[in-house]
Amino acid sequence: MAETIDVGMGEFKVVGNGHTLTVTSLGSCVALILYDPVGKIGGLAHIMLPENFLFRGKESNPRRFADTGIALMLKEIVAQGAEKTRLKAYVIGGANLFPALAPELIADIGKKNIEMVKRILVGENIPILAEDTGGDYGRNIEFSTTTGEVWVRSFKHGRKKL
Amino acid sequence: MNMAEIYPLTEEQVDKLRTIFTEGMQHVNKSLSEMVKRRISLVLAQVKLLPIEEVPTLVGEKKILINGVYLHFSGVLTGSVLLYFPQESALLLSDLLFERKLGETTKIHDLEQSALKEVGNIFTNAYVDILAKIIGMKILPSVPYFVRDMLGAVVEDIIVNYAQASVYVLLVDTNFELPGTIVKGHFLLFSPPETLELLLKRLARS
Repeated sequence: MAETIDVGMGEFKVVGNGHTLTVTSLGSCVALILYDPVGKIGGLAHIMLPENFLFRGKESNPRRFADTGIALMLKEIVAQGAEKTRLKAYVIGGANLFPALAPELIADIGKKNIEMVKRILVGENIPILAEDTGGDYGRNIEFSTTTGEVWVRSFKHGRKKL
Repeated sequence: MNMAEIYPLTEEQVDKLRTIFTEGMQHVNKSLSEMVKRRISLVLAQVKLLPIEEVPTLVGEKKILINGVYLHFSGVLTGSVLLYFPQESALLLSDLLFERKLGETTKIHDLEQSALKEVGNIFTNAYVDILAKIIGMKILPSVPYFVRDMLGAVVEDIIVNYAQASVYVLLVDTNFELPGTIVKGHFLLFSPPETLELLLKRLARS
């Protein structure tokens, strides 16, 4: 049965043909979509931070971080039948809603998230088909495993297909 | 103190926190009702220590467009605050703040943003003063920053900073309403577990 699943902060979801994955109100986090167009299997990870280097405890959520989260999603998407060599990526988000505060905050987390996600994709040999990143605004995302289409919507820039 | 030990907060701890934030609300009530020349209603909706990932869903409709004022505070205790209003509420509140005819304000320009920032200052200063009194040391609020976008994205950007080092964040959610009008807003306060730990230690002594 066709399902629409919203992927929250620090989560990822992998689904087969006939489903839609969404992200509501994405800010500095990065949504990484991986898609096998032949097998029609797709995954979406809602990544909060680039890398895990302050956590020592077991209680941390590995899906928060690009390094540990993407590794887990890759494992899952292959386990569900996707061919790693066929995977394509879409990278969305990494905005900064408070650009004037950037010098005060620890870092421009959005920018660092984008950089880390791209670095990991290069390392895994996964090509980026399209991206919609940066800026100072929030985004809503819709990704269909049936069509492989990714739609991004924001208050500032309306709706567009990647 | 290992954060896993204080999660979730006990009823007694939540009650202690509610008491101090209620005191903060009383100061806000006095200042704001003078500003808008009306009775205002402040209700402490939530005081919770929760995993950061759960915050966006908990605060409400992520998609709605809000007019928000963001501040942070630093010192021995640190945290961030967001005062926000959906568009219609922000417009009507501006009418009241500027003593305009109701319905006269149709856009939030710089002038209206300044007034909303001032309301943000009032809330933040009141809450920070209470915290500073408890901890016995100065806490400095930042200047206010205006933001207009989807609620979920704004909250995400504020709390993700805490996610670098913490699983959990303290959320204090105050409902703000003007009875007899459609004006409805929220004042959210976020603090990392270290600040919560210090607060609880101090409160335990008193």
